Amino acid sequence: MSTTKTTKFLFLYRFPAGATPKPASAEEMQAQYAAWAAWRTKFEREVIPGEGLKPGGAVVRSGSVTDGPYIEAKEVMGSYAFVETDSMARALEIAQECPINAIPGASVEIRELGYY
Amino acid sequence: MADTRPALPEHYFRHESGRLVAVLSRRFGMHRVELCEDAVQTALLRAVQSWSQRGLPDDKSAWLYRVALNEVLGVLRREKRIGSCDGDAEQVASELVTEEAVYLDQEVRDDPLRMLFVCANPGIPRESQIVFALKILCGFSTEEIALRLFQSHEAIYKRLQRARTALRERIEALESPGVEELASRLPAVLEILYLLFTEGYSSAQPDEVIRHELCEEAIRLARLLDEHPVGAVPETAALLALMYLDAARFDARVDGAGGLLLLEEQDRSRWDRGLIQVGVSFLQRSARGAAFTRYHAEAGIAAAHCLAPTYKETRWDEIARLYEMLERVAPSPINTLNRAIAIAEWQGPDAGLALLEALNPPPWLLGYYLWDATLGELYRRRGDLARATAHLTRALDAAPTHAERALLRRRLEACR
Repeated sequence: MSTTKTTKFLFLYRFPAGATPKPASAEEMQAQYAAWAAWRTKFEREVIPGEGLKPGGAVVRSGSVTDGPYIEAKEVMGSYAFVETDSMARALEIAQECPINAIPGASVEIRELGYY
Repeated sequence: MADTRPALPEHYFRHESGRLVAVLSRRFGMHRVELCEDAVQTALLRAVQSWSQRGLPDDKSAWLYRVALNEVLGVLRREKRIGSCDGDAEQVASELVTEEAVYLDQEVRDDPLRMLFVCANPGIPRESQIVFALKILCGFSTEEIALRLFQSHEAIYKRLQRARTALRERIEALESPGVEELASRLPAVLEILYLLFTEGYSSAQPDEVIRHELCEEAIRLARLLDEHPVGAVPETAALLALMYLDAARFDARVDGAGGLLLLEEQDRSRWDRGLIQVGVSFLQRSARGAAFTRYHAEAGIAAAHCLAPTYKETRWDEIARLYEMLERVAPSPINTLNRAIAIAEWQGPDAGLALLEALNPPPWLLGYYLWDATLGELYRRRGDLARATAHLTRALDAAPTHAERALLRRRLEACR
């Protein structure tokens, strides 16, 4: 049994907005699937996957509603996950192995939950 | 708990995309096939994320279908809101939402087959039909097709566009006719599958894996055809027999260094007995009825080779007879050339050469490397080494692949 108190992190997956990415072939997508599944298996004790996020949505700012999230934004959030692990260093390690790194322009932002 | 190690069958996405595009484009019309392809692409992308992280859904096909359907409906609603076109879009959309219950009925199982018949639309040039089938039914991307057919990306793209334009211009596109109405296209469908197989079996593409894959796709689609009452005719069985009997010898044709082996050089123990058995049983089924097609003849020839214990013990008399029957249903000097080879094995090089010397070869045949390769080999056997060398040298200059050039060089060596 680990005695280390686990820390929770939020992984925010961001993908390039606007320009549709070059369509991957079905075989390429199946290869990506295998990469993501392998990553998930490797870190299955730590990664708690979240839901995918639909494109679009809305933004309320100073009380007024606009189509969202940010039409002019360069990237959009595509999904998120929680990661329960013992340190930021370990969270970074997990993120660095994440297959999102193979997608040009995509990124994963790591935030520690503050429980404020 | 969801399985976190969910392996998918090989080519699952590619095959599923072919099936889904067929289902969706029947519902929304062939004129919207590109929209359907995009929607299926989106569904697959979403599956990559969702399935890999949260486990596979119980019914993967239904999951993909739902996502792709919603994607198409979303686009159609947006079109409607913008007011650009398609007054029927909203109606189609509202009908479809209630249709999910009948998703898995016979009609839907027919969809890939219907799509195969749509590909055989007589308004589409044959080479575009093949490209379209690879794209829509097999789920290959344009790049992958270019690689497989050994063509430029632009050429493949143009052929695809030609197919799409032809389909858009035809009324049938909007009516999604039943499989029965399309049955008159069966000969064209068989030819597409035959060419697809041949493309894999004997193309210039040096990558064996890629060629294998084309043959597998041709067999997969032919079996699909054979499973439907409309397609389960002796001609289809004959084509399947031919495919299996050829596929059984696929690996044995190549030596360890990737060189092409002659039939007489092949290690017959490497022929796949299981595939030969399947092929022979299809050949037996093909013998029902009166139809005798080129597929019957070619399958018969392949069977004679597969069933011969050694090269020497091959029934060359039977092969020569089958080539003669092949010439009758599919006249071509290439078939005469092959008959001459069989006759030479059966009755000696003089008999084979007599047949070729009596032939009045068209100019294109004179430039064809197999013409010179065959003449060269037969003259060599007769002992006329000067003529043999001349023909083999010409064949060497014209041979399309590295493996074939290596083979001809070996034969030239034998003349010295």
